[in-house]
Amino acid sequence: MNIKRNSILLLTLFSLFSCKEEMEIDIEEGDRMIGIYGSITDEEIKHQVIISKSADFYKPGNPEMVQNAEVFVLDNWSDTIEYQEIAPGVYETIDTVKGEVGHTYTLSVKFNDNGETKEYYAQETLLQPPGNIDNIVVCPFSFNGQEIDNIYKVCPYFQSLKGDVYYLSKVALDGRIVTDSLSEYSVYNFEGLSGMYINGKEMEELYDGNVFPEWVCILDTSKSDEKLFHDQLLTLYIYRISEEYANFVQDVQNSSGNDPMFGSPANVRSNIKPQGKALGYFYAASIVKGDVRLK
Amino acid sequence: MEKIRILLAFIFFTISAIAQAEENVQSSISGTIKDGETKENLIGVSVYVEEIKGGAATDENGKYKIKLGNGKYNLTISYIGYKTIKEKVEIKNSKPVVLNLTMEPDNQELEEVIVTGRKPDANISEALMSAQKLHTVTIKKIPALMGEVDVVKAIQLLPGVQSASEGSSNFSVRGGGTDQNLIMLDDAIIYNPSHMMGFFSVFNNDAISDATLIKGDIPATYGGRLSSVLDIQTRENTPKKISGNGGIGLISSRLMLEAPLFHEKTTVMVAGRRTYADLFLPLGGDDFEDTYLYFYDLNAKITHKINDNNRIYISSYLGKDNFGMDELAGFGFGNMSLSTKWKHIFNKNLYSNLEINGTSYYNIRAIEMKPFETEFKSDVKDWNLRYDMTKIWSQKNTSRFGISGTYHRFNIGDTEDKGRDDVKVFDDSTFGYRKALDYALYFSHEQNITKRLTLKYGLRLSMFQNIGSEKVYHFDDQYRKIDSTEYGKNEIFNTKFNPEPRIGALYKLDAASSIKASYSRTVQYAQIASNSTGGLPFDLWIPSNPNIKPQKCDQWVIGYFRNFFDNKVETSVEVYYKSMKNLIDFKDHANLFGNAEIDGDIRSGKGRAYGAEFLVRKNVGKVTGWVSYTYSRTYRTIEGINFGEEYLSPYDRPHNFVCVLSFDWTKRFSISANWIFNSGQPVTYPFGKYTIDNTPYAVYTGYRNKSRYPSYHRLDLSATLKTKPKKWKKWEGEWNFSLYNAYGNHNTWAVMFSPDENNMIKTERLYLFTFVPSVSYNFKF
Repeated sequence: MNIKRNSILLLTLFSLFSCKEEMEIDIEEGDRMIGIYGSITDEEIKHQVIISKSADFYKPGNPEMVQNAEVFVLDNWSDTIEYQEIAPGVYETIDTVKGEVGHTYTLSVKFNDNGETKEYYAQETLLQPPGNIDNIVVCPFSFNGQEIDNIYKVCPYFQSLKGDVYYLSKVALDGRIVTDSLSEYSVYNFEGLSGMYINGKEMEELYDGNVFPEWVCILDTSKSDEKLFHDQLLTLYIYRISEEYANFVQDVQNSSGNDPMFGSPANVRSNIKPQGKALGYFYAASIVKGDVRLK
Repeated sequence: MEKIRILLAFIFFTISAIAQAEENVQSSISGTIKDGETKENLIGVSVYVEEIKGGAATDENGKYKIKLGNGKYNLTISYIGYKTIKEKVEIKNSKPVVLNLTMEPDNQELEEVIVTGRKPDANISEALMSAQKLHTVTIKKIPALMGEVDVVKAIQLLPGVQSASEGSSNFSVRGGGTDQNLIMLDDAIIYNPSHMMGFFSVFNNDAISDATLIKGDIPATYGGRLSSVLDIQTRENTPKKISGNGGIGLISSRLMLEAPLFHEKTTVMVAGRRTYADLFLPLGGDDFEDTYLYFYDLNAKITHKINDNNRIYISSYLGKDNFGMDELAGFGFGNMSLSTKWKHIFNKNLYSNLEINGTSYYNIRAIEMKPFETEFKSDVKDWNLRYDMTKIWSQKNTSRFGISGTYHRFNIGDTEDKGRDDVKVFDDSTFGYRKALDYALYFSHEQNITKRLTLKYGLRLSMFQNIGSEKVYHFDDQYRKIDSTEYGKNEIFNTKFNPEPRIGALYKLDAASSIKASYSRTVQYAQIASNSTGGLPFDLWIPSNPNIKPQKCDQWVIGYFRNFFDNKVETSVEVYYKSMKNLIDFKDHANLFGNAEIDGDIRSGKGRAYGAEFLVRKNVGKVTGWVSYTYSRTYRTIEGINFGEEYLSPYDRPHNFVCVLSFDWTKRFSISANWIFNSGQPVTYPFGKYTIDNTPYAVYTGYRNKSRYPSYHRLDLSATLKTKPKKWKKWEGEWNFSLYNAYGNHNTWAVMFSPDENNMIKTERLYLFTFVPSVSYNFKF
């Protein structure tokens, strides 16, 4: 259990007595920070790393991208995976690369920033994926026996891994990822159900007819890109990720601001070193996916 | 002829001189004052002599004595809840006058006296400084949120006291943290004074008698917290028959009953309160249909008089809050306390108190969704034994000394699977207990050195020990865990010994003014493991240990006190400086929940606070109240936070202005108003944003509290209309109408960031409580 997740209830209580209004704040002065975001997965694709700078808080438009950086990834401290800049700030592996389970990938970034050489690195190990997705059910989301309008849950059937294991899910409709922003990623672990076959018989008996089947992703059909149609191909991706990356995604999703309940806010945790000098994350993930044709 | 004139003049002047000498011979007026109905001695009755602009107060035996010469005197005898008596007395021929009196209870609300139970000139004549006493009469007059009169909300209007956040029952005193206040109910510690997220406190105004807040110059009898003592006592009336009072409000209802037993040697008091806010929740729509939200509390007290020299008191409190959504999740928390006291009078100059107190504070978080039903519970339990004696050597010398021992048990957290017995989703586990003992030996003495100078000095020797079994983790300079030590069951470790001197002085400049100064060292052995400034219902208390050193505070205070218009108006200015060591704070992203290695997330350092408090208070007449202005600053320097540089404490509010006024328009109708102004609280704002996968999020420099919320201000109003009293009816009622935040200022409670439809960051202010009206009906019989 996480204090911040349980805070939903506390905030619900405060919502009974509270109101909101937009305001502008006097923002702090600060030097722009470097942001690095990239990944290596066990998909055989060209993997990307995006290097940019933080932007002014209220400034619209695109952030400043960092060009001409030297980017490479060491695979298990020996093999080097080379990257090339394919667009300003966007660096891609020259060849397709398939990450290997158990290997440690070390990202290195070096560039010149206004005459100063800056270097950053990050490291993650690609972890074993869960079992294959055998089936997917999409059904309306209900709470206390009542269906919630426009909300559907995506429920996979697969063998989960034992232990403190973290997953991240994305959904694509007809080949297009629809849960495509960090705020929409679904990050979870199965807590007391780890090692079980998800939505199998054992779990069905355990749930005893309540809140079953278990979901890993939510779709809101009121959004234009998440509408569901007959015969649509729905693809569910389940990423096996590290606990640190799970914390990163949740920090971004929960970085709601200042309130008296949770003390001073702080920068989202990052694995980019030197610590505190850069934003973002470099993650390694193994992926399983499954499809279902909607009826 | 000339010689005769000289002789006559000599005789005349001789006779005059003799007469004058006779007038200057000291005599006295003395006596005993009792309650006219119960015949109990009344303690603290003010006997004021107009001609000397002074007087005395009755002692614990109801006796008073005032030294006077021959002459005629006008006496005013006054006491809260009783009709004032005026007496004319003449002393002739130096013969002492004995004036015994009985006072009749006054069923009308008093027109006078906001701060009561003291001599009229206590502001300038009592050596204790930085202390305020609030009586329930005062508290009732103050406009309250949702009409719920509240002692904690009232003390938050005193100079030097800040509410932790809008609507919170947690408070900061002179820049200290919210866990640095020793809050006691009948001498038992209350760890969490909040109901319903802090909107109300756990103290039922009908059950209490008075509340004393000591912000500095803390007497040696108190210890364990750095910043203040809030000492709340429940009622100790001795009614002749069943009586009570209560009220019905929009949010809660309450009832208090008192009755005599066993030939009036025993008095029982029971008070209860319950909210019914949950009845209104379904009006919020389907989203709140399955939401439950309520609190209740019960106070009970038995007072038994064994004989004139022995009394026993047993007082208990039980309070509970529950909030949640059926079949989803819920929170529950509560306090329980039990205080027992035996008061023994050896003789008029020596008496003692023997106390045994217990307290428990718990909180539970529950997942109610099948099949994950789980409960996570943490709690703290204390048992305390104290023996205290007061010795009056003379009118000029009084000592107090005693010994105290407390056993603490802190439960960091238990997890229990509450689902099906045949299937366990979670393993039951515990994050451990931390047990500790703390003792104190104390002595204090107050001495009138001269008519003008009073000194008080004391020492509290405190000792603290941890008790096993416990696993204590050790960390390196980078707070990485390196190893651990296991202490066996009941094994004592980490013994800390701390002397806490307390010194004060009073110098009377004249009959209406004085200067006071004090120094106190206080030590604190337990703290809240939370980085919340407003307080959370699941705040966790943890004791000192080898990783968490006891917090220490040195406070120096100096003040000038002046009364005007025969003590009807009191003024004071106090200047203080506090230096604090071993303060704790938490690293960014600290894991404070169910973390057996929580010590590794704690950072410690030092703090300082200083300020000046100005107060003008009128206690008598149709218009009563106070106006105060406080300028105060508070800072912290904690390793690993704010890059090790000094930063503003979350409780830093440079300017605080409070005006509390009450006007008794007629005997039946009164109006009250408060206006409060505070500088906004420090806050950490971002300087930029960073976007990943179409999600922007705020970016911070790493410095803390460099910005400030907008200033806070609000106006509260209330009006009270008493129903017409009928002589043949014992029932008295009144209607109270109040309006909280009368002009609806949007006081910032939180600032939230969220991406908008264009993936820009939107900044929103969350504010609570604008234009909150309420009506309640109060009664007594």
